[in-house]
Amino acid sequence: MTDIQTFDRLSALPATPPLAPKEAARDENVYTAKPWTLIWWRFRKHKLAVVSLGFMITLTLLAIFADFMSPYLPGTFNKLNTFAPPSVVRVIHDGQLQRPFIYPMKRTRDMETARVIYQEDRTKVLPVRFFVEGETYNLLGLVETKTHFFGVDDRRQQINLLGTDSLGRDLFSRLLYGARVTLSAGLVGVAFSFVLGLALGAVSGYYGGWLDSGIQRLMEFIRSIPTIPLWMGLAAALPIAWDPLFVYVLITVILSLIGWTHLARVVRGRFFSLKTEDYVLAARLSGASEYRIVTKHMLPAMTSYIIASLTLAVPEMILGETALSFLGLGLRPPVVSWGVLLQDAQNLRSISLAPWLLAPGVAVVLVVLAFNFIGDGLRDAADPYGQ
Amino acid sequence: MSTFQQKSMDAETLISVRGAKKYFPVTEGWFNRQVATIKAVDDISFDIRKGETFGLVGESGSGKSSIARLILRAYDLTEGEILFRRTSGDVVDITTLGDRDMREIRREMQMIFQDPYSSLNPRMTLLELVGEPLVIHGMGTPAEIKDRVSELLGLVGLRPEYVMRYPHAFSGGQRQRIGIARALALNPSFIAADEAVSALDVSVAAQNINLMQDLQEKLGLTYLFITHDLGMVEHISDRVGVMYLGRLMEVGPTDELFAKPKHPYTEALLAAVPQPDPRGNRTRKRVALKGEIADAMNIPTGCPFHPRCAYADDKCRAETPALRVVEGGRQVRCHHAESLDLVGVTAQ
Repeated sequence: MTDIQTFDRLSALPATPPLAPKEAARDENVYTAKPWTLIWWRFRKHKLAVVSLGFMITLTLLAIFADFMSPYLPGTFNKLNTFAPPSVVRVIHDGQLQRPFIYPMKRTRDMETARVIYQEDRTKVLPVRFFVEGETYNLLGLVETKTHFFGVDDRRQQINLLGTDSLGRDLFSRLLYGARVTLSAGLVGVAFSFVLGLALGAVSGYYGGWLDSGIQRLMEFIRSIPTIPLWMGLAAALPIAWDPLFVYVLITVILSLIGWTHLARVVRGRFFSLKTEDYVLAARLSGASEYRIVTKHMLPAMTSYIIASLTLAVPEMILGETALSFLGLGLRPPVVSWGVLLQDAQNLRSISLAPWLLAPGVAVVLVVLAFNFIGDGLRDAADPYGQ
Repeated sequence: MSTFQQKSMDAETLISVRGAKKYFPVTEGWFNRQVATIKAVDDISFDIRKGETFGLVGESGSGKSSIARLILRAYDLTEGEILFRRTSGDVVDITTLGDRDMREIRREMQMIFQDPYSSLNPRMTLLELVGEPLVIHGMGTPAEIKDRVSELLGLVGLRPEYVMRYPHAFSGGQRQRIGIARALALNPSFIAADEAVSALDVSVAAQNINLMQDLQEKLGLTYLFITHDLGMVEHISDRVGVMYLGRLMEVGPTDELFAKPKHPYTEALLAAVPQPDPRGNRTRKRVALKGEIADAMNIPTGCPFHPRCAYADDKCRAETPALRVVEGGRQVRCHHAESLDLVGVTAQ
């Protein structure tokens, strides 16, 4: 029974053994690293997520500066350049290395089928120039300018990195402009569902009881509604004469009215588990107010999880927008979004004639994958203190 | 603090728990129909004297932790009162205080937690963690708080330079000492330690126990020490209470209770303690405890311990014994306390 006494001799508290200076400095960095630094260190180990993050940042910048980065305006048509194939940027002409250039396209007509045929004219070189003068636009809606990032210095020829559509509009330019609408639809939709999900999830998880049961049943009800008929009904309710941009906001609201349930589940679960953490009780026993407990102890422990699940919710919104617009229920021309662009790829004839019209579909796939990888990386890194 | 009502209490008593009951309703279904009641704490009374260490032992599920949480008012009592003597000398019944008055009292009573990992917010530096009570109660400028935190860290044997570190930089034992520093921040007179060393290695646990004893001497603290480790209780406590199914079975001074238990449950617990000398086991009578602790939703009639008691008779099955004072001022909840001759352990 007195075995405890034998440990009295150990009662002198152990001194931490001294470390080599360099090692000590590195350890001290880890010991004093802020939670977000630790999350970043963990995220960095997820190579695919880092690459995806880089891709998304690039794409976002391209979308923001779409009017500068694209050689043409999205609505500029050219009846002499319909269904033109993508221009190939080359560096070797006649066996000699040159600055990047393209060969001009020669438009002929097949005498038997009356089909338009494009052929590269290998005799002439059309150098790709940077900061060229082109159509006038307002940079970020502020500065009126004519300078485009790249283009060709030839009034009769065009550079179409992804080809053109049935009206001869440059698909690359339209893709960049469409990215603005599609990506922001995803972000705005997620922002709406973030507000709904956070509020209802927090109430549900913090108060529990009948309020929780009520919100849970509501969520189950919403998730059980078949989405496409619902979308069709809602889209039919939107008057066709409304401003396309207003319709765009409404579409994102509709998407987020369905999408918030996922986030609410996550927030509710976190609140439930955090409520019983000892450190929350410790704060309460120190006399902390409810407000302080929620803002200082509970929310900081949730933010990384919330960001991870928000990231995973963005692709759903983007796919939703694309699907709606593809079906003609969402955005309509002249608004340019990836879903709207994909409408052009709806019939077999145009796909067999101009497969590059599917490029917006490829873009959707890449963006959805990138968001999923980033979300996965964040989710793994979200709790830097777990195993 | 004129709102505090005066209650009478022995001058040497710091905390007096009187007839405390805590029932948790068990609900079911959509409309939260109450289907049963869990009596986590049932009619418990005991006093903790100024400057002593009161040990509370019992199996898991016996309601030990609930008592600590009731005294610190993490929960509200169902019935009964808990009197607390403030540093100013006023006696207050903490169960009737409003939120603002309770906040004042929280400066004087603190808690040390069992799990050194979940009891420290991993997203706060030691400065924020240990200094949080000071910030909450608006005690001092940021510079003063930093000085006080460094001082507290020194007090528990951690280097003051560690203030900017996060808890993940520390081992379990060190984290527990951070928890002790946090509990000391407001200069409390009473600290409830809920299984404070159960999660630690024996040697680290011993260091922390010794640290707690040193601090008690230095700062004049009073401890409520909750554990299931009888060896620990014998080492640190002045008096011990034995709990079973939310009830106190026996209360008495540590040496007397260990040497001569008056309740069959205490005897059984003592018999289960491993002896440092294995040969001692052969000469000792072993009372093996039958069965499991009963379901808290379905407590046996009569004496709650009777299904497991070797000495139970018809009276035990029919009548619930009360906690009564027997010879030598000890308290026992057993019908046969006087007639039983129970075996304890003798200190070497």
